[in-house]
Amino acid sequence: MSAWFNQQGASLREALNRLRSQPVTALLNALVIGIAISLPTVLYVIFDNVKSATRQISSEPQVSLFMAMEASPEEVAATQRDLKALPDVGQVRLIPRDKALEDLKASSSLGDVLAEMDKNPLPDAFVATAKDHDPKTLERIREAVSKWPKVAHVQVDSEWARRLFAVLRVGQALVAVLALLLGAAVVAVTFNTIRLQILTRQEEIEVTRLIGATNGYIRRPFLYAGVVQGLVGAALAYVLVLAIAYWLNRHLGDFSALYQGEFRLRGLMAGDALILLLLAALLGWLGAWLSVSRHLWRME
Amino acid sequence: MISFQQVTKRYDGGHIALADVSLQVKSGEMLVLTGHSGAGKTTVLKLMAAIERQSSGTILMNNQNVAALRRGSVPFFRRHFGLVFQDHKLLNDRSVLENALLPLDIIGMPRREGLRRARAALEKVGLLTREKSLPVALSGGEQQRLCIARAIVHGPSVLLADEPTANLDRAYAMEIASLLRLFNGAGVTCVVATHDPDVCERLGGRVMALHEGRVAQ
Repeated sequence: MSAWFNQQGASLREALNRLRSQPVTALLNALVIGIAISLPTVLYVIFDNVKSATRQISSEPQVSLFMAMEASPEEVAATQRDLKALPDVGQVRLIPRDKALEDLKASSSLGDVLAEMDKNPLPDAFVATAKDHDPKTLERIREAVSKWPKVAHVQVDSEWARRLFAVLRVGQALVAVLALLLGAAVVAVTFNTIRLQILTRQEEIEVTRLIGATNGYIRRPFLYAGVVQGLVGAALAYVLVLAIAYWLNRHLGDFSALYQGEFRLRGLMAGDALILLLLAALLGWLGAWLSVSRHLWRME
Repeated sequence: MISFQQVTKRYDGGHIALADVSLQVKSGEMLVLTGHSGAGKTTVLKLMAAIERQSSGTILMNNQNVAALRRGSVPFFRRHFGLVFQDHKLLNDRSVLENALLPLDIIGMPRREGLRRARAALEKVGLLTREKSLPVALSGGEQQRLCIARAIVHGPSVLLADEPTANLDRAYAMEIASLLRLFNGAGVTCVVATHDPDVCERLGGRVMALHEGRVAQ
């Protein structure tokens, strides 16, 4: 076991020495990896932030049902009964037209205008909550109630959120595709860097093989070099993402102030940053492994 | 210890480097292979260390059939040997000490113990004072002595030397031959390929001449 640790330690030292011997090349490679990783990461951060902001805004999925102005109290009561009887509907809340007018007067600057009106322009309305968050459930409720008599208008309140979620899903799929492509680019960059290292170490590889080195022994320093390169790249990507989030927040602050809101991008959370580091290390390892294995396979 | 039974080595293209060679090397023996270039001396050494595989026949090392070795076992098998090459095969970007340390790194020996053993090996070949030098700063004879230090540092049971004195002047060649004889005297089995009669005489072991891939005497 101690032999194993000795070999790992020696390989890591060897890998760091190799990277230190060509600091500019190593740094440039790490920078390329960092930029490649930061692109999907920034998009991920943006979509993730928008998604959590939307979750906070959108409440439970609801259907608003507006009665016709001429609907009688009996017809309103009958509609309430029928609505409660629908299997997809959870809770039903009646907003009488008088209450709606009072609320509108209290919550908006239209109080003076509304006070001068002869008649209440608002209809009786119901707010029905669906039993689940499935958009199809809301659609079924809407279809059912829109055919009822004396129902003037039906509105699915969370529709805008649903559309936004659909857009976000497309965005996330794009992030995934981009991450996949740029992940392959990271593997390719590492593959090539390690290939160049192998070419300069070809003689050393041949000698060590002759005197009893296993493929694992030969591979190990290169694998560590790939992992270190991936980790440094990920660290650079993390700094880039923070910098981009900071820069975007300066502009987003002005933008969200226009809408009396406060929306700020938060950078990567600790868990996300850890995943980023692990993924980059894994991609670096994979690129290095493919490169050395190809070389060893050719030697054999 | 090492046994060749009717071993033939045929390369791609049909060239026969070794034909029906049978030989025995006993533990602690010094076997000197002689013959002109192309006689098959290097091929014998390569087959012993499983650097190449025979086309037919049987090679046994401590009763283990070398041909039956799986690819993954070959590196471990090679650790039974110390290899001395005509062209030294030293790593020129590493110090003398690091070159001597290499086989011990490969087997995963703790650094401190490895350094102790590497220095002891350098002392045996008279290079301890040059431990920090790079191989390019050494003379041809010193480079070959370093190659021998690297070959014996991990305590192999067999030393295989392929023309270890080929590029050296007379004095250095005799020095290397004496060194190999010294290790043989300490119990290490040696198989040395050389075409130099003086070196052959200095080594003082059993001589086997090869000619065009066959045992000549």
